[in-house]
Amino acid sequence: MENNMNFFPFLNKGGVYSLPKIAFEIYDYIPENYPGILKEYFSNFSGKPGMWAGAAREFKADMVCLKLIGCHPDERDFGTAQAVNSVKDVLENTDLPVIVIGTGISQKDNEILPAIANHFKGQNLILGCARQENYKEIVKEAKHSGGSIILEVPVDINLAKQLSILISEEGMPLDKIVIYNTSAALGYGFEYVYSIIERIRLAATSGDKFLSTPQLAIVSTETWKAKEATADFAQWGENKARYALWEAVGACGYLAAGADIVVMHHPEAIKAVRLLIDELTENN
Amino acid sequence: MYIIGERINGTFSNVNEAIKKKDKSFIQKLAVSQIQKGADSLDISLGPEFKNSTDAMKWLINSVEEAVNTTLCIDSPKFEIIEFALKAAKSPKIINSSTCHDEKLDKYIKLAKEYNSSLIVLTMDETGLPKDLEGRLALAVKAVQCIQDNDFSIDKIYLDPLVMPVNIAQDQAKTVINTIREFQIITSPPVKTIAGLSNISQNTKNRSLINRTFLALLMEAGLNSAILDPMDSDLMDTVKATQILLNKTIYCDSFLKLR
Repeated sequence: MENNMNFFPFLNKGGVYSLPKIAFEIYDYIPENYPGILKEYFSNFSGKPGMWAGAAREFKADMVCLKLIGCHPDERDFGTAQAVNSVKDVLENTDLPVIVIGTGISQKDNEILPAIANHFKGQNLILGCARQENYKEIVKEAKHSGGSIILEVPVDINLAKQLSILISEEGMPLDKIVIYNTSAALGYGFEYVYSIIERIRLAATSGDKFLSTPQLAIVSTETWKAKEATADFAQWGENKARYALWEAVGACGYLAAGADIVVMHHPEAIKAVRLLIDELTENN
Repeated sequence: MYIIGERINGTFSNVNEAIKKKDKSFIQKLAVSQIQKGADSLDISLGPEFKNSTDAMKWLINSVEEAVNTTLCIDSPKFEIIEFALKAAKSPKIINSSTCHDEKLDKYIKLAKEYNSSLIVLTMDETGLPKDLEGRLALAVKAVQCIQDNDFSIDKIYLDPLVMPVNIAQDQAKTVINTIREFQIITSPPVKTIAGLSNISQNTKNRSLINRTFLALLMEAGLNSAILDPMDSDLMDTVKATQILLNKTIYCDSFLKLR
């Protein structure tokens, strides 16, 4: 089966088409639940996605992932125009590939994501997420944009395959689809997601073309939710290191399962995973 | 499951007529529709009236190659016709078929090597078809030895245990299923297996039902490939459902839409 996928990047010696990628996650707005540990690094960045995007190279990330938290109705409920401006700001400050992820609220995403697809035709954005209830609205514009689309399913390999079929039937080329099985941090369902990523990768190796798409795993915001990572509790070890480790280990695990893109945020965690990818793939 | 479409066969009266009248359009429609229905390869057989005709074989191959880009399974009892076809065809080829008779198999392996063709080997010899699993297995082992002695790749071989009609040799259905299972332990990795599926229902009632039920049983035994009628949509649906039940394909709600 011909494709650009490298199934086992950490085993191959040469002839690899594509190595796993680290996407540095940034936000249009820093929400209330942003962990204090991260504020030490990024407190001046709120509302300045362009500035954040500019820092991605410094952290040796391969991509930038803009999450439009500010557009969420429960956050600042930014409108389409502001969403478009945030994306513009990012694109003006980075030459890395850009992922844009919406709010997770279909009604809102159906407004902002098609508008972004339309506004940034030819910029090769990776737009997310299309779900079972709203994929048609997003694909309608995305398929003309030249970019890619992330389909999101709740840890469900069968639904992932079904949605991959439905999205390609709507006119999205199969090589412009990324699968995202909603990630979970270590201790919060990590192993369920791990097993699904692995099964999808195995299905791809046996020729299932609808599951032969890149897979995305988000460890950044999932780590926010893990009290083991964020709690300042001395008996659990030093908080800063613990947080970074929680995010890094989650990312490494998903990479081992077969994820192609890990979305990360903590600079030290990114550094550790960068080292892992570079050292394990140095012969490729 | 590697599917070889069986419809371009001169034993069907409409195909025989098309060959006689040089009705290219009929043959090409048959080629295209079999591929569209899921065939990975097309069996090409002249049938009894034109069995010795190299002209007819050339015309048939050209007609098919003009319409589709696929592997051709050259089906003839005549060595000379097969050799001619291998020379004439531009596509990748499968020779259908040789028996395990020593001299014949040797000749066919050399032919397959010369034209970089795959080869279907029937587990029968000059004494006929063995009645039991052990007899077929013994012939298969001998054939594999001959293939290895000729330095021909096992990858290019399909072992065919020979399917008999269920209304004539009812006990043979289960023997064939078990033989398919046993063929897979002769070599590592296993040699590929094939069945001429429609033979099971020759002259029976409810042919489609018998064909698809037998195919599911053969697939469970590990069958890799079958020569069958891809225009039978119930049969093709059975392939898809069986692949899911055997955990070879991931289930999704649209599983019947997929090739």
